[in-house]
Amino acid sequence: MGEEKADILHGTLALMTLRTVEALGPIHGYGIARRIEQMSRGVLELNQGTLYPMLLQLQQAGWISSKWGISDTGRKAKFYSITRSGKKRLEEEAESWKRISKIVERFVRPDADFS
Amino acid sequence: MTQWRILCNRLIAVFRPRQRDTDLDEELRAHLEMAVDDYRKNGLDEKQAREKALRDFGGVVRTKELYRDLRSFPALDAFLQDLRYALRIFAGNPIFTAVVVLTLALGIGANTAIFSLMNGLMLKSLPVRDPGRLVEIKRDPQKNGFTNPIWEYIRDKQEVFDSVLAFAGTAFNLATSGEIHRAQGLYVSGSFFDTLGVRPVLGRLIAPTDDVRGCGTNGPVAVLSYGFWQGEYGGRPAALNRSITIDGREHTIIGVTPPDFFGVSRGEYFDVATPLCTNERQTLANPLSQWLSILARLKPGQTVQQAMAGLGILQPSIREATLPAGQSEPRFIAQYLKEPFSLIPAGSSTIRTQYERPLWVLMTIVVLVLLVACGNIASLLLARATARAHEIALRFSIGASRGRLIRQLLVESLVLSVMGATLGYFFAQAAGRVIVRGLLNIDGDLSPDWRVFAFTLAVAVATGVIFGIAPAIQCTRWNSAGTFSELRKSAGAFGPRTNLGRWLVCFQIALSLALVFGAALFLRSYRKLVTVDHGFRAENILMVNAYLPGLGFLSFGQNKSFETYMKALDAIRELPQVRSAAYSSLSPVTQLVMRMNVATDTFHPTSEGESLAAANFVSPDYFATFGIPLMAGRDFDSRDVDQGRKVAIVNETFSRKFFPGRNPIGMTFRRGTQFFEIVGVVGDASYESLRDPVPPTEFLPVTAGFMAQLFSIRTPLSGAAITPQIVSTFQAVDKNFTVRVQTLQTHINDSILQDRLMATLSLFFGFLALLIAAVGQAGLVGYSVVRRRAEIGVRAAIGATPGSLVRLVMRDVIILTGFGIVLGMVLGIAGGRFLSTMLYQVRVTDSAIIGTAVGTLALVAVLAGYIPARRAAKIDPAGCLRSQ
Repeated sequence: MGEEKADILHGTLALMTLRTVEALGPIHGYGIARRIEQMSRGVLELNQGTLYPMLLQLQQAGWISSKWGISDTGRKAKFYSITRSGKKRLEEEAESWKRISKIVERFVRPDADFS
Repeated sequence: MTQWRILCNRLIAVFRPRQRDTDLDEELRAHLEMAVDDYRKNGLDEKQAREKALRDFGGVVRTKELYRDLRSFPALDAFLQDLRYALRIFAGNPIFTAVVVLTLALGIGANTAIFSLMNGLMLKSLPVRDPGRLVEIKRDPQKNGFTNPIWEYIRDKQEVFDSVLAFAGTAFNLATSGEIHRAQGLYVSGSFFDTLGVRPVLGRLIAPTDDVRGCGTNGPVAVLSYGFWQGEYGGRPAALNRSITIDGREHTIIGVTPPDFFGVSRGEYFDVATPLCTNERQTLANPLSQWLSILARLKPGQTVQQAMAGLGILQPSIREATLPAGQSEPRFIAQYLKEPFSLIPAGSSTIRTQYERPLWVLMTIVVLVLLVACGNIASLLLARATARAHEIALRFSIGASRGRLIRQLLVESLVLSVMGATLGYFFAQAAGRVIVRGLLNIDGDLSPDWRVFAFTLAVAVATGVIFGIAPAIQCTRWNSAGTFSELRKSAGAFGPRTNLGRWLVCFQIALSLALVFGAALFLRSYRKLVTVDHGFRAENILMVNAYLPGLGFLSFGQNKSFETYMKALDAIRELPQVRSAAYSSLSPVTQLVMRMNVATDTFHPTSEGESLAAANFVSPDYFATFGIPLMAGRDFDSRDVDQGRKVAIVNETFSRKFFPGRNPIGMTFRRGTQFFEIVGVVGDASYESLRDPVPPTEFLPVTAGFMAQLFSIRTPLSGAAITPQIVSTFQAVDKNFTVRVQTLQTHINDSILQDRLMATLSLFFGFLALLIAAVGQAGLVGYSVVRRRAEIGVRAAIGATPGSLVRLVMRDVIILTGFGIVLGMVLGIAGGRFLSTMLYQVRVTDSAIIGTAVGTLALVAVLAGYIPARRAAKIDPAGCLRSQ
């Protein structure tokens, strides 16, 4: 089944995570993983574990913050929220992603003109 | 910005790693549990749910590893881990750790102590504004001193430098009468403090208006050093405007210098500074007395070469303008006119020059001692590494890389050396004080600064690497040796110590021998100096300096005080316990010299300086007081003095040199413009120092020279016992007399202080190295006996006698010692050549000294080997074989 699913493009996981935390935060790591899988409708191959080193990096950059809390099911879990600089960063990232995806789009269109 | 934040966060994460690990564990566990919960809700059983959750997650361990790498700095993390591990190991082996740290503390402490001295005397920058732009003007690199007329000419006429200053250090007498109250004095020009950029902590400092001939409107003024102000005036501001008596003259205290200002000569200090104009011992117009040092501040952007060129242009006019009047000797004039000026960086001092070489030698000695200590610690670590072979093998087998293991072992060494250095740093403070107080005659700012600290740290790191690297490489070498069990066996039975350990001991023996040999040279030299025949009898002689205020360097004819001095001499002679007493310009062995060319009909000099002879101006009874034998003719009598007769007494060297093969009595010689008739010949006696060969010396009646203040008294009483009598006798003659009493022996001891320093310290370090090497030797032999237990057991079983077993072990010891001795002697003799100028009448190739050093070393090394070797004879063959 791994062959059918796409590898996540380097760097895009961060964008997706930031966006998820912004929309749903405070949210724990498991919630983020579930949300990303839902959004990709099961197309993306995500080793949930890879999320954690990335959450660490986002925290180190000061874009998200974390706090211990209790989940809906009554478990102690770490909850992540976006910070102000994280929001700014997300806007910038989203902008550049849109620009890049348009460019890539132009390349992969069947009628792309390379002449 | 973001980069910085990441860096900071990572650095913070260095702390509390365990807490952070637990946090991560808990977070991941929560994640998995929540996933399991979800799957079970979807109908999977517990086991399936868990499996699926784990699969979704990917590798938990891998995730943790990635996480940790990102959380902080893996290298730093590993280092801290190594550090913690090392500390734990040392805490578990307190005796081993204590021995190593103590050895290192001694070795590193010695290095730091000597370096502190070097730092204080040579490296520290002067405590003034922009010290790099200060230069000293010299007559030539060897000669000191300028006359006041030259200084005044340079001060008024030069445009080469930004500004110039002059100063002279001296001893001040602060007492108004009675026993002398000495203080370290400094005569300074008016521009001194301003040019240096020194600001007062109280009042004001000496200004150009204070330093004019006659001393300006404020009269004589004085500035106190901070230390003196604290010590003598309790740091009270009320000291300001008080009066202080210096050499019998009142001065007004106008200010205090800052605490860190010790003057401009490293290793020296001052208590009181006064303007040049207050110096009454020198007439300021005197064109002959060379008593001043001159410093100059370079202009911005000016190089020393440019300044030299500028000074060179000025040189002829300075010389022309200051040529001493009444000089008729053409050679002197020509020499005076052409003598060049040169520039050197400011801050040098006679003390610095005097101690530079000894300090370098001491530095070398302590480095060698530290190397010997490193050898021992390396051996210890090797032995321990063998004991730890099991642990190391285990770490290899579970996948540690060799680099990682070496790193771990090096961190352990560094921890040891840093601990040793820390302790050593404190040792050095104490040792430094002892050396300075007890063995050196220096004072000044020798407190440690960042250089000393950096030096200690550098030594610690270097030491750690030196003694750590070889064992670390050696004991991780059998990575490729194959299986775990083989590794253990090889480590145990044919341990790595075999070759490296032997080399280490050989090298230790060699270095210790070199050090012991050096110590023997210094010791022999010192013994010779102590026992040398001075030509006079030093015991029971007191030297008395007696000052009257307002007494300058005047000729007797000009000075009324002479009568007073002669009266004092007679009064002293009357004292019941005084055998004899004399009055003279100089006393022997005080490093002071009066030299002049003499001319006779029978002597024809072939080179310049060949006709120089030393002089002293003495009263009758001088020779009797010092116990210098009269060989021919007569002593001076009172008529020679009173009538100012032109008579002289010469020593035997003088007689041999200037009147070879003839009886000098009745002959005349010319000294300057005057002719003297020789009336007596005395035995040779040391003049300026014990080291220098006795120069040709002429003694002239006191009245032919300058005013002197020096009395010598032969009495069986101790200085302390008779001092009150002497003081009251002088004061009965004139109540203004101030007096200082010292034994001649003190003078002599002071003059060979440096030799005593070198002898004491080199002996101490030599024995320290010897001790360390002996411990190393004993350790090596003891270890080899244990290692060869099986072999020795077999030999014993098949009939070897205990004696032959000991011989078996001792053969090794003797070969090693032999190698070490040969190597050490090569080192010692090569190094000894650098010492020859510091030695007195000792040749580096002296066979007795070589024999002593080699004998001592061989004895100690063989004995250190023999004690553990005897254990070989006690090995029980049966028990030994059973255990195999």
